[in-house]
Amino acid sequence: MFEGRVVEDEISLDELVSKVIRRTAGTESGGLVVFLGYVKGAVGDAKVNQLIYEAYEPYASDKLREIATSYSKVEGVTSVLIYHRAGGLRPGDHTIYVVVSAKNRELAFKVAREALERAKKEVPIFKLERRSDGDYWIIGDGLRVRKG
Amino acid sequence: MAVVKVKLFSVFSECAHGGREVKVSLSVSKPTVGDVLRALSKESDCLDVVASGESVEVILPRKNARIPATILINGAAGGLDQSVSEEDEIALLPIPSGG
Repeated sequence: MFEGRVVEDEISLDELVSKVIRRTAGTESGGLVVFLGYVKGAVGDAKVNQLIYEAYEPYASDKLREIATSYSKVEGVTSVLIYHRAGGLRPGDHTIYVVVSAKNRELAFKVAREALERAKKEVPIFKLERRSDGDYWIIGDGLRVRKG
Repeated sequence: MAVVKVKLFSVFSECAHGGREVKVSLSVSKPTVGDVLRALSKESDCLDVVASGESVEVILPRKNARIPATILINGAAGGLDQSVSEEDEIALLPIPSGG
């Protein structure tokens, strides 16, 4: 099972994990790796009030799907799911889900890490950080440009 | 004569006057992406698109910022020599910040 898309609502981790196990039980997979991103509450001394994620659809979902399905050809990988939320999110809210099952744990961790890095670098999703000291556009992995 | 729409995302969207898109007027009927970006820079006092080879950067003079950018034409990476029409969707994007 290889899927990727932008979602609006939070996803139940329990349901996600159960879905993957149901689909891969009976194969040589015996474990899965989950990465769950969530909104930080602070950046340095500033309090984060909200993160607003804007996805350039349908291309953001297309790219998430492309990344996930690229692993269907990798020997030993049995499932990759990548879901990214869009919209206004508060501290503690889920932002991104990466779930990978594979024949061995080394491969599962490796693919999960790689899929996450690709999702952050390749998918046209952009965030605005609303903080106690102002609003900042996040560019790439950490450059901040003040809004306004 | 062509009027091409350019979608601006993230920090670049501040140059779209409250919207998401700017309309760029060109005197040629089949402009290239490079033509569109040059016209956009000329018409805007908010951003300046600089191309060097195939890499593109956007200068935001009011923010004293220079930001690497990507161009997508109908969702696919576009080169500066690629021709576009009024029906094409052109997007100017900074480095993604998902996750």
